[in-house]
Amino acid sequence: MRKFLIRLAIALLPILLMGAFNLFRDRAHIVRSETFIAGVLDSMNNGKQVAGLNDYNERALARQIAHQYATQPDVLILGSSRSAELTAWMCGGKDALNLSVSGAAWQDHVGLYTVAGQSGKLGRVNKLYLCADPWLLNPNNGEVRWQTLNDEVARAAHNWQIKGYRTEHSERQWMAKVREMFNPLYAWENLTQAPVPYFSTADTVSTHKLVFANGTIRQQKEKDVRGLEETRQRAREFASRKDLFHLAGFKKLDSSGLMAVEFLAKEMQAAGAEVHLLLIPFHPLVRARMQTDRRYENVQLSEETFRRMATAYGWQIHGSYDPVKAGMTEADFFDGMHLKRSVLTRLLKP
Amino acid sequence: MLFNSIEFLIFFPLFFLFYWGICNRNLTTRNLLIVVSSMIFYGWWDWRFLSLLLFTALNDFFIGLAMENSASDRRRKNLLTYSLLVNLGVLGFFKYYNFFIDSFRLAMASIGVDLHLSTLQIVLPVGISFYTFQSLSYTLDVYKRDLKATGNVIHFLAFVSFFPQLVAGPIERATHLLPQFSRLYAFDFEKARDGLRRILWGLFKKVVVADTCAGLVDRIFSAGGQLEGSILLLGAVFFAFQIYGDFSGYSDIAIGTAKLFGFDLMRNFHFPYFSRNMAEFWQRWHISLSTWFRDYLYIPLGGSRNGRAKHIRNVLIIFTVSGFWHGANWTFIVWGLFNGLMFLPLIFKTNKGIPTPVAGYESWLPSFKELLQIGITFTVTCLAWVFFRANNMTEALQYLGNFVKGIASNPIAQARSIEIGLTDIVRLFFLIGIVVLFEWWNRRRDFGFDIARLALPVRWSLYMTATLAVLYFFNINTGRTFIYFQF
Repeated sequence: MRKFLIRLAIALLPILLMGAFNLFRDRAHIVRSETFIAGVLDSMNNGKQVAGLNDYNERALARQIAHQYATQPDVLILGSSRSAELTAWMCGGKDALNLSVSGAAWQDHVGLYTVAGQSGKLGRVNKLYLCADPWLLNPNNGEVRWQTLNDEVARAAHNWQIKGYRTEHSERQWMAKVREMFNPLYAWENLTQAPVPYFSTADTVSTHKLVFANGTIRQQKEKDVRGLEETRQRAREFASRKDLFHLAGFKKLDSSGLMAVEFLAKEMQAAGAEVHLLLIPFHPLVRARMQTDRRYENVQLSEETFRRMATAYGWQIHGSYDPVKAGMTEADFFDGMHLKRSVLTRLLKP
Repeated sequence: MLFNSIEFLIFFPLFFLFYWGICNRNLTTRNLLIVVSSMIFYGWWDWRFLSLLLFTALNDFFIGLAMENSASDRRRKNLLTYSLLVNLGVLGFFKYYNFFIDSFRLAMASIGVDLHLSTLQIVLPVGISFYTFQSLSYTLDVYKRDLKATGNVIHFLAFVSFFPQLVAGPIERATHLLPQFSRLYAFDFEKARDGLRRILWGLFKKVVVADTCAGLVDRIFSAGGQLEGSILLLGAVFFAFQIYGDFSGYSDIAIGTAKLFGFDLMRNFHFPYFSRNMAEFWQRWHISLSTWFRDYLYIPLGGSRNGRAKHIRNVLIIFTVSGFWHGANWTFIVWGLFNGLMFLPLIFKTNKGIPTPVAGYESWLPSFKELLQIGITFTVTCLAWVFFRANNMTEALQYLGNFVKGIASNPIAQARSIEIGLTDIVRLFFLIGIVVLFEWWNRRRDFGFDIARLALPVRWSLYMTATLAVLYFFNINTGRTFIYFQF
């Protein structure tokens, strides 16, 4: 037995060392996310912005921002990175809480809406801006980061009786963390890429991406002035990927996603808020791929569905996935699917 | 609880510690630990079905005792009939009730009688076909007087619920496994080392190969109606390796786990894809089920005795029943029947064509004839898998029809249309190639990763590489359950 255990220990040693190394470096703050987020929030509480944030759990940060936000906002923004730069004045309000997170699925919207409600931030909201990305309705969008908000999503799904939605398939967070600690790829990343330290700053424009205390993000200033050719190159690269972002396997519209958007917006509307659906356009090259590749025909159907829903319930709708219809040109983008901050106000004009 | 889950990673060392550290000094304590741990293992999925497992086991335990104490053959036969009715009744209700209702309703509708029969919302208990057959083997063996009934309920419960093989086999025979619960074992270094090697190989086949295959197979089969030609053959080939990696991987983990605690489980797979004809394939694939049907159905029906017509009948019966055992769907029945039909030509052959125990027995490579035989057998098997994998008969026939229709089409272009790139295919063939290479190399041995004879540095490098591959793919292919859990 002793011989066996010694040999087993020797065999397991490299794996345990790899786990310890991942735990020690943890460049994406997988294990120490709470300490990391507490540090970020501390920096924000001084009235400053946080710069240099990279590889972190955006959902966990958004949840804490909602909890710790000091005032009662009159605008709530739920969306993806495409709406992350929206501010109160762009939306015609005084104080906005922007809970946009990258690649947001409908579960993120529902989860963060629940968080906002739980932390008492919905009382004065009179405008809801909901970024209706096409992948909200793609049941195969592959997005799993929302699982950070699993409890909140499950609660809302239960209250609204969203059918076909099951939470038991969601892997428990701690298990995912343990698994990641023993991921050789994560060890390689920890070995080859240094974690970038974040810092607080009073600047409102920076060469770094800035996160504000209300959740709004200000992209690097280089992106505001990015030239046509470089943008085109990035958009071309984006459009030529095997699968467009979160749109692979988009064979039908996700009825759960539709129900979630509908219930969430109707609930806010019933509470007296205006509902604004944002259809943020894609770069013309990406849009062309969507139109020529029949695997993406449901993108158009998504837009039509959102429009029908908005008309039926009297919601305002802004933009279109089609840049021409949205009145945007190549110069208005900084990559394949993000608009420059300066043109967002134009998009939001009634 | 899944073998490839974090829960099991916690459960297993704890069980190991209690087993060897505390409970192995006393037989009853040890077997009680096995029973309780097995209940936790099974109840992790759904604790409500523990009662069903206990009911099946206790029912057969008491029937066994009653048979043992009865001198009357008639009474023994009645008891066996009761055991068969209860076991197959439970299985039939949970697994086949809705199938029979639907089929009866359709049959009646086809002759113009419209019946309003409602089906039930029944959850299929995990592993019910496995533990029912294992428990049934006990009453059958006691009835045949091949085994003396046990009077120790803890030993018997440990035999039925032994967690390594509880939910997906191998389906053990009472004559083989039950006596092992009446002995205490000393820790055997060689056996434990062999067990670990086997677990690693099982995990590699499951996590690295089967789960990677699954992603492509799902896409090909779900788009089967829109695709044509050789991409569909590729889908069937990938499924062949998915189900092999998945099921034989599970069996290897189960056998390896049992070895760590001193138990020997029967071999369930013996390099089936190196088979040279269908008879050999069925001697090498899911051996515990094939031999179960052979001993308890085929031989009692008369086997190959009583003339060729009855031999053919018996072969078709066991293949069809074997197909039906897998699931309540016509696709499984047709899969079984198809295999039976492919088996039939061998009945008429006087020379069975497999003079050696395994292909390439005396050489490193197979002969050209063997290669051809292996190729034909594998192709037939792949065609049969289409029925196994399809959701219904329409889908299966459409899949095969589209394959024939577009045989000349470019598979790469077809693959691209469902978002599968050439690199995905090449990568998967590389992973499959690793398994095939190791299994071919070890084809005369017990399992594919039997590398004890290699030099220490080579051996340990292989352990490390396999472990890293499992960890890497575990993070990519997360949470895929074992296919055979549904049976």
